Amino acid sequence: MKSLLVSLLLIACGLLPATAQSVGCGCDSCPAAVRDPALTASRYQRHTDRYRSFWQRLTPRQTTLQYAGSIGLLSAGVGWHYGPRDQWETEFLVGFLPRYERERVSATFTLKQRFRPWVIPVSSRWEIDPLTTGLFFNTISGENFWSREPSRYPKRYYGFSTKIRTHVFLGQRLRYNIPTRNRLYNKSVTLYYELSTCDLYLVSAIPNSNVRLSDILSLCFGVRMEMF
Amino acid sequence: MKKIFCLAALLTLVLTLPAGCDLIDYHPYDTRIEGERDINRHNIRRIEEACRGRRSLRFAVISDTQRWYDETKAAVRSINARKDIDFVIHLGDLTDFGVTREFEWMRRELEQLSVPYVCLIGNHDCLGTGADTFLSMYGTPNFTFNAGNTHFVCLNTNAVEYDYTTAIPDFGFLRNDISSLPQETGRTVIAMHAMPYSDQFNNNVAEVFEEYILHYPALQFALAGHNHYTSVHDLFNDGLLYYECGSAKSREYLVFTLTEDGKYEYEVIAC
Repeated sequence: MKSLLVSLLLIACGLLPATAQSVGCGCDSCPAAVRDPALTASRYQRHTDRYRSFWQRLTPRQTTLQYAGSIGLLSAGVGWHYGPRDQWETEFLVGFLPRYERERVSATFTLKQRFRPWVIPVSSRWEIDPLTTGLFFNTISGENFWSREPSRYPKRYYGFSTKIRTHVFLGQRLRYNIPTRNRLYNKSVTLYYELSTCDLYLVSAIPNSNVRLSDILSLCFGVRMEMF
Repeated sequence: MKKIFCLAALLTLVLTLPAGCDLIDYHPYDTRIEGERDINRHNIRRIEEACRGRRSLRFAVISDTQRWYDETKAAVRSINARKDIDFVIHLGDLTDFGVTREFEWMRRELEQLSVPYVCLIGNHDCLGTGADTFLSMYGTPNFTFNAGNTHFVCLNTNAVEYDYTTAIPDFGFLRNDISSLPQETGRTVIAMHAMPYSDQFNNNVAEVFEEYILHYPALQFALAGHNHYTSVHDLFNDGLLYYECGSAKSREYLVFTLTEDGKYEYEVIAC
């Protein structure tokens, strides 16, 4: 134990001057090269560049507007596409749900993961995604909903969350690649529809022949704009 | 040519989506209800008209049909086949999650009843926005009706669902009702989802509740669901029987016959 502490101390002593040297203290005793302002600036440049490019990669590259689909009447969001052939997409959407019979309007928040295995090019401008699939998680605002059962219930009284829903979907898309000279903000516009169902609908339909497939499906239409 | 073919293929797929059924869903808890609303009020009018002036009745009791649509269908068929039932009382838990579509799916089954029905609110019906949907589709959670000379009192007893912030059971409602009973009232039946001493009832007032409801003229018995099994209890050892109706899963329902001589009979029917 003692020897470990001593060796740690030795390492610390050995490192500390090295660190000071590498940064460059600016005093006369340091070698001239360490004091070189050009060299320190380039290190600084490299670090900030790396930092910027990290955040730049996280810049959303597509925007989406969607009607219905169990995540609100209308939802809007931003997203990312990635993968060798851009076959993966992740979206974050905020939805608006009108009041209807409830006490007040609600906001919903959705995280969506989409996979499109194939693309059928129709022409230089038009493309079809014959299948898109994936899942999304949705949460809704309002004190009527809980993700964990409130303490008033005995443990595992209901055993599910009213606030968080998990959905799966299948869909298709039609994409128009905007010619370079006509681009303003986006390079392509995609129209899509998706058929989804959620956990609570599935567990209702599975044990009952009277709950039909069309009862548990939810249709959405949307437009997706790809910036870059 | 290829382009036209592909576009046509896509269009066909969109248009062959199950047409005619409502695929638009804004949220499972959106409370966007289609079809009949205010069902209890409509059906109470039918019950009161059909039973006017009568001193004998026969009604069926079902309960806890949540997520047992096939079993509910069996009960509805069995009740329809009897031809001797005046109306049906559902003691609550129409839904498992309080989801709007669940209310519509259960209504679709209950609408097949050839006799009018009324629904009470169950604890599961209060989940999420379920209480809002229930209010719109069936009406207020506390309600009464008169079938012939019998007064029916239907109560919301799911105190835990409201975290004891709402008057459940509502003694104000009971007091008003007891003081404004129709003159021809010869007897009373009381119905609730969760009975006293169950995990949903406000058990601090269980005995007060019993004392209160005993003010009703010729109280025959009390009806309850929630526990999912069929049984009879004399909860307070005072002679007032609480008949518990099993869930739809048990494939049983109750039939009560109120006879002209002021007595009643009770059967458990397997379906």
